[in-house]
Amino acid sequence: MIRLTRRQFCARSLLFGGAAGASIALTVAGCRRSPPSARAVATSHAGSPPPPRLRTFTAASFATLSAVCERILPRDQDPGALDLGVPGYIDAMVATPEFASTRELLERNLALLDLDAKARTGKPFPEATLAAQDQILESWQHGSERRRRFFDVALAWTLEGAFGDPKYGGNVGGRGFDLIGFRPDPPRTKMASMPGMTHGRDAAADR
Amino acid sequence: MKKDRVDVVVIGSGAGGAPVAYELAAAGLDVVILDKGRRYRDEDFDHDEIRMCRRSFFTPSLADEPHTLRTSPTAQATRSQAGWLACVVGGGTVHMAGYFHRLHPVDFALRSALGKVEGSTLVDWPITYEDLEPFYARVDREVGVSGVWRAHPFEEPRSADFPLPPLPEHGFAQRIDAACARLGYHPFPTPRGIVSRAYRGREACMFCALCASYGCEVGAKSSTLASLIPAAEATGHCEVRPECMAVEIPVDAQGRVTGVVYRTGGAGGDGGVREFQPARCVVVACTAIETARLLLMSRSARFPHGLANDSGLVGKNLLFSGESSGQARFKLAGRQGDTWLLDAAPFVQRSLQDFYFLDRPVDGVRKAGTVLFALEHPNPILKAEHVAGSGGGARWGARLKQGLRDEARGARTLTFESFAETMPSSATYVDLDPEVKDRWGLPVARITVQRHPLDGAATRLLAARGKEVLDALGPDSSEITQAEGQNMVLQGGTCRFGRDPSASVLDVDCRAHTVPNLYVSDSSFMPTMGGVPPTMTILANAFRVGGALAARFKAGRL
Repeated sequence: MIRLTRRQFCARSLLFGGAAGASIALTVAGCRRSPPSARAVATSHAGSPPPPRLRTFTAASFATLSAVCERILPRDQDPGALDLGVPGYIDAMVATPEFASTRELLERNLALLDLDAKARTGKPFPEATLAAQDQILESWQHGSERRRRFFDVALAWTLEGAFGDPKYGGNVGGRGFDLIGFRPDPPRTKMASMPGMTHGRDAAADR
Repeated sequence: MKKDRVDVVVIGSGAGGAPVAYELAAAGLDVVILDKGRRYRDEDFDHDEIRMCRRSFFTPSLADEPHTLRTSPTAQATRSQAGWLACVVGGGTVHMAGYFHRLHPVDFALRSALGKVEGSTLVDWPITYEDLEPFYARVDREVGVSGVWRAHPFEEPRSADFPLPPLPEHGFAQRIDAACARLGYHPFPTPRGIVSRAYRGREACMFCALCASYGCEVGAKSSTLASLIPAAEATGHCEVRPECMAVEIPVDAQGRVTGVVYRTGGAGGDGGVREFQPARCVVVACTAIETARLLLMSRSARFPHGLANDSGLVGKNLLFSGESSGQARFKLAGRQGDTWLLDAAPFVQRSLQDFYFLDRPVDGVRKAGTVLFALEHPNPILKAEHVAGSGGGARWGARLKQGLRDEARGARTLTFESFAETMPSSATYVDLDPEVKDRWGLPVARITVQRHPLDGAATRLLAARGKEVLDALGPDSSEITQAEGQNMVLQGGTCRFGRDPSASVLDVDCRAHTVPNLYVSDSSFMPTMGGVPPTMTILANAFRVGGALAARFKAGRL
């Protein structure tokens, strides 16, 4: 029988923002739209997908979000969050009314993250050095309840954008599946032809 | 428009409702099944983790239809999604993993076996294993259960072999067998509600590994949607009405139910209307929590405290299966010779019941349950979350990337989960939340959970044994991921059956003691849930109830 594991349940609660009831009245029409800015473009790597037409975030917030996602899942020999289109995925997904409370949480805290970065480094988060970005994020991971929650939500959404079905705009090219070793298509071969399968080997012995 | 009276309305189409509907329709009685959820076709199910597992595909959203949860009658109840099963035609059998263990003879007389348990309302069942056995065999055939007999200390008597051979096994199965032989345990192949070969017009399993939390796109999973519901419809006597949520069961001056008031438009729908379906008899099978809620919402002058609630026991003695879990990681690097680790077979197919009932108590526990081994669920987002962890200990950045390569792509993870007996008590129950309403203004189910001390002891014991077996396989790492959990999908007990109307809600046939034409056929009837997943037993009992009800109609005694 299936059930949500505790972790799965926590993750799900995070995604639903915990207080979906209170802010569900907010609609997509209420959110800001703007073209990608130079700064947002600057947060993509060479070779990563172009920034999307934003549905939720301002260019500044999107640049900060992009930087956060990329620090959580940085590019190395395998693709990172920007390569996988994670920020665009989040921008599109939280535009739906269902995630109004998540959108609010992200918008508010991305702005506060920039303020925190300015206070510490004199620059908004995306323009700080990568080492400074890591340091700030780590302090948020262990910070106040609000900061910890933002970190958890950013982590959960980054993973969903990186490893979810590519049709939503994240996990570009299914490269997230490659990274984690997931085979999206079922093996449609029948059991007899599958290597390594033993079929009912003790059926006769134990009857 | 006024609807014609039918013989029976069955509320709910899952493991509790579908067998009753099928038995009645096969006997020529006219049946309407109401289900609050949508009816999906096989091709509606896909492998999209976001859609199937992380949104409100199967269960309602927190905003629309919450439960509320608290840990004592004085604690503040908080909104929760816990306690819902799939609200779709086929119910929880659509997104189950399909572990089809039977209860054991001792489960029917646990009070006698254990004696008095302090702080528990433990009672024996009014029926025995022998009474239910023919119906277990019936489930095997009707829905299609795959398996093979292997002797073990708690092997239950069976009147017939499995109708389908066991599913193929991953190489871990042989290693578990060898390790358990050394430890003196007796693993056996897990019976599954998944057809291993084409069966009654259904395709065989194609081993996609996405059973739990998903619907099966070829109908190989033995859900009621794939098996009993089409069979009931084929009789010409059963109509399924999806997206129809029962909201009240009214009674006449004699205190007999007259039919069901329901709302069209289903779980997510707007603009639905109230309808009334008159019926000679009503069968409720909405899950233990929602069945209790519906009865408690159905108040009348005759039943001011809720329908059939003269005893005050509707909603009481709520049970959740005890759960613990663990995992062991086997890194592929350095194991090049162990090609079996890369087996394509997605099923490990091993259960252990050596600790089902103990001769001598361990931490006070004599009744524990089942340890079941399976490969880690392949869901990629979930897997990434497991590697990342959460909160202050969460891994991110370079460490997360390395972890994903080493522990997800570069390893195989074997897991266990336990299904443990929990002690029924009057302190764990469902009632109507006095404040929180669902999106239609109906009071939601409030769940009060105060766990019995033996519950945690039972799951800890099973966790320790599960980890012992994992460690005997020589993994790179192993851990107990949950020691004292409870599985809120596996629920029962809110309308327990029994012979004494002052101590039970239902009689032996699961007919309400005080409402002669009202039946409850889901897991609500169970006074105890046993140490196995209850799906098989819910189905078997529902066949038993359906047969008894059909006989009563035939005899004109309703």
